[in-house]
Amino acid sequence: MSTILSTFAAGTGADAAKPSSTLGQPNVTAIGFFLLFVSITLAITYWAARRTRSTREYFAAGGQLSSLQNGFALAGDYMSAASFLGIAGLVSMSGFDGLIYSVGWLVGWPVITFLIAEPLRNLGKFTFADVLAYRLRQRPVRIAAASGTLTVVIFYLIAQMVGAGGLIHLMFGLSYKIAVLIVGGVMLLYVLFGGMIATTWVQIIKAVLLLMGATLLAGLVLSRFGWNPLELFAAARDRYGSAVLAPGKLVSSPLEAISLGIALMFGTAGLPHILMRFYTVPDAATARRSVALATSIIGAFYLVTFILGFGASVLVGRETINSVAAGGNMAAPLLAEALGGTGFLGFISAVAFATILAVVAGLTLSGSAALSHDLWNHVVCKGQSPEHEQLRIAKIATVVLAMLAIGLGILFEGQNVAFMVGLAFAIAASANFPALLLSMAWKNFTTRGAVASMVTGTVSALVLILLSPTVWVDLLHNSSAVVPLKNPGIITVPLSFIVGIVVSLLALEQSARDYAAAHRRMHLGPVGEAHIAKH
Amino acid sequence: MSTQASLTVAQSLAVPNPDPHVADEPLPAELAELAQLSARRGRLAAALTTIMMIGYFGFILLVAFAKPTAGTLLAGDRVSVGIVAGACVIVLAPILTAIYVRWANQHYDAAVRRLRGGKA
Repeated sequence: MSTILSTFAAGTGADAAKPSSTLGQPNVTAIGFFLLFVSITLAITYWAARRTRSTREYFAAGGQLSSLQNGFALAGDYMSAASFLGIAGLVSMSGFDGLIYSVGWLVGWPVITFLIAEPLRNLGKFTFADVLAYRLRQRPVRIAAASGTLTVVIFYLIAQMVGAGGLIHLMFGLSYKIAVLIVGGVMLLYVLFGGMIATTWVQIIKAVLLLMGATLLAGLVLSRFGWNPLELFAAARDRYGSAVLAPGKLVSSPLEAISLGIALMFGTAGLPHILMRFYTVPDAATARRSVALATSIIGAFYLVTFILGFGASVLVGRETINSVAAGGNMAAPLLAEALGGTGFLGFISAVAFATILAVVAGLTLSGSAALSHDLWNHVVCKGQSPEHEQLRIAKIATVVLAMLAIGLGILFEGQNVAFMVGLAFAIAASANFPALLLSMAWKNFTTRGAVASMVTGTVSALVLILLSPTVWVDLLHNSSAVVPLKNPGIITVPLSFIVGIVVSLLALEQSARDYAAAHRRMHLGPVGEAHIAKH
Repeated sequence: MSTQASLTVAQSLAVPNPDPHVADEPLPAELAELAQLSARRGRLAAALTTIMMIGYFGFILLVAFAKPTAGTLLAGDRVSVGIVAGACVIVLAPILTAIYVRWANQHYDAAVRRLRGGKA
């Protein structure tokens, strides 16, 4: 992951485009499309704000979305600018190696479908901490789960904001700080006033636009090669040699590759902003259908980015792509310009902007839920905080997180923050996923086991990344890394499973009866609650 | 959902039962069916997760340990084994998901409805 992400972040430091491209000059179409997107989404936010009166509406869109809506929103929440521009860029510059990421970023989704989505929907309300708290002691597990959530959210937000500032600077010619302010400001309007309803629609619109734009672009590429991807690969092979179709330098060590694979596969299933989306549908069956739809959309999208990368390397050329931004991040926009002119470039640029907005909105909302629902209501107020107060705290939390995102985005300008997405996935995989899975699947899991597992996962991932070549050598300029692994997943994920199990076995908790209730509800859903609600 | 459905399960679900005359524990037959359903879902979920992991980590190991094999060209030298394998793993994910969703829509939902009391 580090390579793609470092190229993603390194590329953003580059300056204005070469004269052969209009990229980076104020583009009327791009600004037009962007203003149109912002106007429509703000109008939706205004409409959503009038429908957002309760915490259930604010955090879960009232739990009334269809599987079609949530499927697109999940895809929109997940597909980031890093995966769109980054994968296309990496494929354009190094060929086959980009496919390793296309595959890695998808394989966590079936895991969500098979192991997480339905029980999560049946056991929880707004956050994944609800699932742990269902049968374990509320306060300790919520504090630990909220810390894991906030750590993931903040690192992911920084990476998105710094990437956004650089990309928007490259595409629209705006200054970095202005770009960060616009992204943070518009996102704040969505989340603060429109909550989950507005965030959902931003994500749906973004997913549709991104799919349309990418498919159209891939169609334009394939039309030049007789609609046969093999001819495209052959053209790339003719130009850059057959090495372009073979594994290159990206996978240098098998251990590193497996470690990255573990973080991507299980990290996806522990991302708080993704997990939160399962509460926006009425029941487990809808959750299941929505995640299946999202998996298909995301899979199709990653296949398409692969075509875009090869298309850019053949039709634009590596030299041109690299001259505009080192690392190839501008491959997809340049391809759009080459095949569809300035108008299409404008459209793709605006789509990339919308992509970032949708992801940061989802992240901020999940951070806000951890602060208001988990920490304020259940930890500070022991579940007694009145509805209007929870909503007020949620909105304050949203403002604070947005300010933090803008502030950190500006603070980290020009820094290589690539490792932060890797860190977010590593923490999600090692802090959130093991505890979540064990609490649903293992009868003897205890509160202490859960807390120990989550703390171990967070701390070990943080420490190992700090001591890794990415931070210890590249960022802190030490001569050699204390830990040779760039991604700690292979150590931290098994470690937090083991710690969770061992600590649970050391001191049994009287939770057998609670497990029976949780087990019922995991399959049958909150039938009792609905019954009570009627009276 | 129907009141009847809610009642049947509410009896067994509610942790402190407010009505002392209503049995606190679910019927043994119901518990057995739930356990069976849970085991079936668990087996299928574990099998599909395992297939996905074998597919994905198999791809990673192919790329990491057998670079020449992954780079072998096919179909008139227009594509490599690695690209085909990667595309297959991408396609595998929605296929496995579809298998699970089909099973759950047909069998799991019906069993859940039965356990919830026939309707809902």
